[in-house]
Amino acid sequence: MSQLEFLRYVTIGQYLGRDSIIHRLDPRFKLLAFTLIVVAVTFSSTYTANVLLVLMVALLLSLSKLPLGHTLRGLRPALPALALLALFQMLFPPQSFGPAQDCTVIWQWGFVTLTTCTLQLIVVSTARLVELFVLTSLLTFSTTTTELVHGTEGVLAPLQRIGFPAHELTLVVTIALRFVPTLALQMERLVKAQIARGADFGTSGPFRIIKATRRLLPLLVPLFLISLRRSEALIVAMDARGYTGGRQRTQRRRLHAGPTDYVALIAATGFCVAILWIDTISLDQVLIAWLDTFLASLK
Amino acid sequence: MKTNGQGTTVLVRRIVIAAMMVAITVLLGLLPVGGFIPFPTGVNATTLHIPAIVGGILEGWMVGGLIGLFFGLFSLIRAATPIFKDPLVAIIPRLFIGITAYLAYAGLKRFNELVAVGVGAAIGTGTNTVLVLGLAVLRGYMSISLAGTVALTHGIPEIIVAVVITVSVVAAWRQISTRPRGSTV
Amino acid sequence: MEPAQPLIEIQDLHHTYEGAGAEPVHALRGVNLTIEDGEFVAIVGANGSGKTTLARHLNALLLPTRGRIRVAGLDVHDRAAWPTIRSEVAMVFQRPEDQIVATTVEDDVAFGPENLGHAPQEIERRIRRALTTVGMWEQRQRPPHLLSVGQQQRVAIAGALAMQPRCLVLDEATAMLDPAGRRQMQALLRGLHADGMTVVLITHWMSEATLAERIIALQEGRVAHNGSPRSLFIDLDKLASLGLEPPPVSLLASKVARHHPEVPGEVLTQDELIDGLTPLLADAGSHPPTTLSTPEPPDAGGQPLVVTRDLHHTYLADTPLAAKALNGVSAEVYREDVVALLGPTGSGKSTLLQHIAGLLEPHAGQMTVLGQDTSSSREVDQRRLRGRIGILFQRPEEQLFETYVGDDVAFGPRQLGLDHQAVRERVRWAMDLMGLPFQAYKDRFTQSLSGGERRKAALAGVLSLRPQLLLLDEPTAGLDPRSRRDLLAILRHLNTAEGMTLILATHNMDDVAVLTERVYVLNEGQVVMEGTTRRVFSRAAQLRALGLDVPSAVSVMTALHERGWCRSEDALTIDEAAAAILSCLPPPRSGQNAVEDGGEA
Repeated sequence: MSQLEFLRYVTIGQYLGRDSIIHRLDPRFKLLAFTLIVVAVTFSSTYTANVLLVLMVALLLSLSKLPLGHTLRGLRPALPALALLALFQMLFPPQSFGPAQDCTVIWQWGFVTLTTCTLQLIVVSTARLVELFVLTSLLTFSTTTTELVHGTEGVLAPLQRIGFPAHELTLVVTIALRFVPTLALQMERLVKAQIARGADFGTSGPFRIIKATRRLLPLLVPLFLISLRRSEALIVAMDARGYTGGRQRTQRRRLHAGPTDYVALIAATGFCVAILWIDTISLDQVLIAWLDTFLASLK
Repeated sequence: MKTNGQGTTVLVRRIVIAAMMVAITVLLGLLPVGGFIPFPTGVNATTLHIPAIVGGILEGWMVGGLIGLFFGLFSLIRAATPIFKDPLVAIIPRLFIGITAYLAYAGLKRFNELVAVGVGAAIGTGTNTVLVLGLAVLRGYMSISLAGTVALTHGIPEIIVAVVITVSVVAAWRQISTRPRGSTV
Repeated sequence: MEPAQPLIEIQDLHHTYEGAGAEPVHALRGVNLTIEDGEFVAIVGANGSGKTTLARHLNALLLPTRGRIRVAGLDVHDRAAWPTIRSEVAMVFQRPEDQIVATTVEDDVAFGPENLGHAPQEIERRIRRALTTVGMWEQRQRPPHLLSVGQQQRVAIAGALAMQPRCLVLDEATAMLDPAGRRQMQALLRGLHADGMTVVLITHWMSEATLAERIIALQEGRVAHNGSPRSLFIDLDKLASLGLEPPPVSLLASKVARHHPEVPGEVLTQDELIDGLTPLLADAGSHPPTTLSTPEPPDAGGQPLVVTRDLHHTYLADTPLAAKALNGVSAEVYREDVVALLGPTGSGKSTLLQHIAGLLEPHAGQMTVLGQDTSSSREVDQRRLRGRIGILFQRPEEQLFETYVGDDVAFGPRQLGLDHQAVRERVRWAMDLMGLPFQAYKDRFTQSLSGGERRKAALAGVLSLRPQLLLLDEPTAGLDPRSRRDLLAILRHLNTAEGMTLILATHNMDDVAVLTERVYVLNEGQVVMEGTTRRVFSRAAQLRALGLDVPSAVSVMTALHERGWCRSEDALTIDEAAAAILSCLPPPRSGQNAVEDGGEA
């Protein structure tokens, strides 16, 4: 029987301390910059944009002084999924991708078709995956969970004045993070207790979905029930400590932004805008057209 | 500040329940057990959407939607496939899990509470499946035919899983009679 | 000058819970009460007497159905006054873990002052002061899940203190603590009270209630007693009628006094008892003490049921959190033994139990259970042992998952593959044994049962396996005195009438005195003492050095020994101690014996 030690799995904040610009950024600005770059990634479907994005991500990675191998290692399990996705897309090609263009077939073998669109899709998807993955790793490796929560709080705080429940939301995150390890220990106890009663969480025997689900009931149902009970106790405790929402309360922590933070934010904004512009004007086509004309003029 | 007639507030209640359900979601996503039902075909029916459904049914659409939001963020961070690394596909569908589950439940509650819970779970799960696949198609990750196949092979089992677990949890918590004569012993 | 306004004034308080469809519950039926600034008040009562309901009214968490409450001059019905009321009257609850909101200690303590809108520097100051008062300043950056239960509760108290309240209400706040934690808590409360804090302590434990200047006893929603602790505890009949148990020392004193009128029967603490006995014992002269003859329990002989040799186990090995839980433990348990594993928190008791149950694999050493070598676990062997070993974890009520009680108790036997009739028989046996009559309880909703009943249901769910060996981890933790006694009686019955072998991990010494024959004392993963219960408990000083308590009876006798009296080293229970003391005392001077009325209280 494998050792049941659930705390092992529950390290959300895999913070790696380093002395780098990225680490030292005010978490609010870091979060905003991160969001902006993620927006850029989300809306980048051209090759050009992704080249720039990959370069940007590489730059950030080097600035953060985080170990490259460690950061990229998490991508390994994704490789089979990527391969599978590529295969499916070659078997069932989507109608079009990105800015409207015609898909020309590059290669065909039986049912498998590779068009320019499919190729672009595969390349861009992979690029996006890598970019997002490295970006999120960068964020979680260079920011402690406390910083992340305070950063979110700080970013949303101005909205509190117009009635947006900023603190309430960050409180949800705080409480959730606080309880994950506790619930992990709870689960550990539950698993052991139920196994000792003869519960079988394995997957032996002929598969039937309802049966397989029912096997999990002695684990999942008490987990929910205990969590709901705990919630009742916590609600009372929070009311007793006078929580009435984000409006009237103060923050103990004060975050102070410096010039580096502003520079970072402005750079991120500029970059994001640039990427979105590249996408809107289909820079790829423009560049290709320009390249054609240039090559033609050389003749 | 809304209270329930006593000295405790609805706000705190919603915050705590939402937080706890988010914690369960994260936990199911991190632990090797309980987060999914492995099928022999290699497809996994997940259980991660269930806390959003439970939270929505027990505490309403705001709580359900909030849990879904964080579920989406979490799956974005943890995703290893391009589809779920896309913020739009990861987050937007999840917002609706708890909301639709609640709406279905609230609508049917007056007829039969237990059935309402089951239908709510089914609809919440179905919403997730449809919206995720729909957005995946819109974003160009897959064709409609592929999406349809996945909806059936993946979606139906997920609905069954969600219904069984949600009904068990809510019946036990709210002490709703699941059998007219009580236990089977 | 006007007399100072009471901090809390309660007039004709009624509170009724409306259940959905069920009968309304009249938890409080006309309570009148005032609490003055600076008092130390204890509120006691049996389960269902309304203690917790009353407590929750003190800071407007619950509102009266009828009647008036003023806190610091403010009416609790005035919603605008709640923030002030809650900063004047702070509350700490029973489950430490479920009060901590933030991811680190200091962030959590900041929560209250932040809610009150204080300036950041002021908040920092308050955090520092509160954490220093409770002794948790060094651990201010730690996350709650890495703290012990006692530490968590101290953090909760710090959170309350940071609001700088005038009054601290503790709603059964020591229920989940071990004896060391409880002692720490009591010292803390005494300190706070000395500094002017009003303290309201709601508790099951009369020995805690003696800290207070005034005790309010509730019975069925009404105040049945409102006076000094002494005035309540001397009246054992009244205590019994209220469903309460006297502090062990008071009980001991009254038992002795019944047969010896010169002994003061109205005693609250051990010191008082000793002081009362001193003049009499000093006169005793060379009155020869009697040694209680205690035969050694016969050697069980034959194969032991459980043998462990040099067991090692490390938690979370290869991570920064790695901790050595067992460091070479050797022990044996024989058929029909009742063995206790004692030790402070973190000594390895729980871990050892889990190894015996086959839930953990040792990193080194040997474990043989019921004839099977489980040192290197293999699925097949595990399965053969299933059903023969039952283990009950802490707070077992948390493992209930079925909607109906009967189904949950039936889970184990069903997993064993028994047919419907056999399952039904086992469930009936288990439930009747646990005091949850089969017919009445099998169709009840599990979540509708009280906490004590749910624990019984969980135990029934383990017993329905009819195990040969029953392992229990803190079985009485958090239970009120009555439920505790019930449970111990059931455990004794399981051993004597059903022949079950029991191994208990506990730090409740009074449990051990009553139930077990042999004891292993663990500390930091090693066995540091072992032997019969009597012999181990006679080394009170060594036990205390490990941070463990001794049963009250042993504590009294040891204190007497230290003064050179009553060298009977074998008294474990209150009754034995009473008999021992009586045998050391000179006969009553007046020659008349007190009326003999026997029987345990």
